[in-house]
Amino acid sequence: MDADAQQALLIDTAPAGRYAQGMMMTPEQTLVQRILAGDETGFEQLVRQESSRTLSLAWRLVGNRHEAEELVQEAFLRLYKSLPKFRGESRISTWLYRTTTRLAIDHLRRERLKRKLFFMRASEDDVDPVDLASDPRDNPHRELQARQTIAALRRSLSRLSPRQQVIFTLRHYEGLSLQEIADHLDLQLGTVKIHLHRAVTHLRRELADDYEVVP
Amino acid sequence: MNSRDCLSEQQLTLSYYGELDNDRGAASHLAGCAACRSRLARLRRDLERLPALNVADDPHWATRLAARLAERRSTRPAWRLPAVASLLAGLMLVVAVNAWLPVDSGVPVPSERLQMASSSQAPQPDFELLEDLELLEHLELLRQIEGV
Repeated sequence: MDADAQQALLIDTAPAGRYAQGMMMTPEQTLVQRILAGDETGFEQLVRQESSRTLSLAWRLVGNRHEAEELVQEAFLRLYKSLPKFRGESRISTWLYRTTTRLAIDHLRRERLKRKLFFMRASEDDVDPVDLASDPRDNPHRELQARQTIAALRRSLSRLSPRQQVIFTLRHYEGLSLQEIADHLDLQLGTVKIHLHRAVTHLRRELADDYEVVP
Repeated sequence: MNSRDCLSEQQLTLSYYGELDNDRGAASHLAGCAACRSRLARLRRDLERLPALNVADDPHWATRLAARLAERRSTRPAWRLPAVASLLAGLMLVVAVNAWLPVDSGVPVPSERLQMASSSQAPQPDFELLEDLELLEHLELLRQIEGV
């Protein structure tokens, strides 16, 4: 059993009596009650449970491991501050997902603004291919090619608006439905459809040369 | 070739992602139109060639994050002090410069020159920047950028 499964089991089987006080509470609400009651291990448990998925999301959205870690850290800090108001109407994982996505959009906007202000341009240095999960079956040549493809994709993504980047990533890589994306970003469904289409058109146009090279 | 009923590029994108929803007309057209199916196949080929974006697993990440969060939770308010201090210093500087600059030299200025000054020389607010109030929150971050 991996660590995440063990944590999930711990939450599911945690004695709720002391915190639930006879009410029917979800395991998540029980965990929140533990944290609010001052149980420091409760928040750590929550972090262990959600950190990997949240980091994966943040990294896909911003393309840089260090920046992704900073975003995740900020998202968890905001979660900690918001816990007293948590009423269990949505899952903590959903809250974290939404907050991380919004933080990522803000981050991408700031990065874009910095580039505009200081005449910087997105270069390969901005891409962080070091932390890619490599396939052990790959030989060095294929791995290099994969890194170059990812770098090209990142460069192309960075030329989209932050909102388009995020919408494309959430749909294509995270598999969220367009309605879920609209809910996360407080956008109309029609707007999300238009952004997705523009992102796809842009990527196909920009990556057309790469497609011809890669068999 | 394309008829009036052929799918738009956006409909093709939505079809690829299974998001045509209630657009039954588009779905039935697709079933009967070889040209649209061919366009959809090209789109599928392009999108399926995009590389996977999987972050490498770090078994120590959760532990590191928990430690950093514990540290930040105990020291978080500290960053606000220098930020507020620099903001106050900036405000004082603006006030001082305004107080030092002569507002009225006593020399009469022709009214047309005043008009020209107000129309061409007065600084125009950068509305794009003003709209992005996030900037104010991240003043410190912008100040820390290398070379500034």
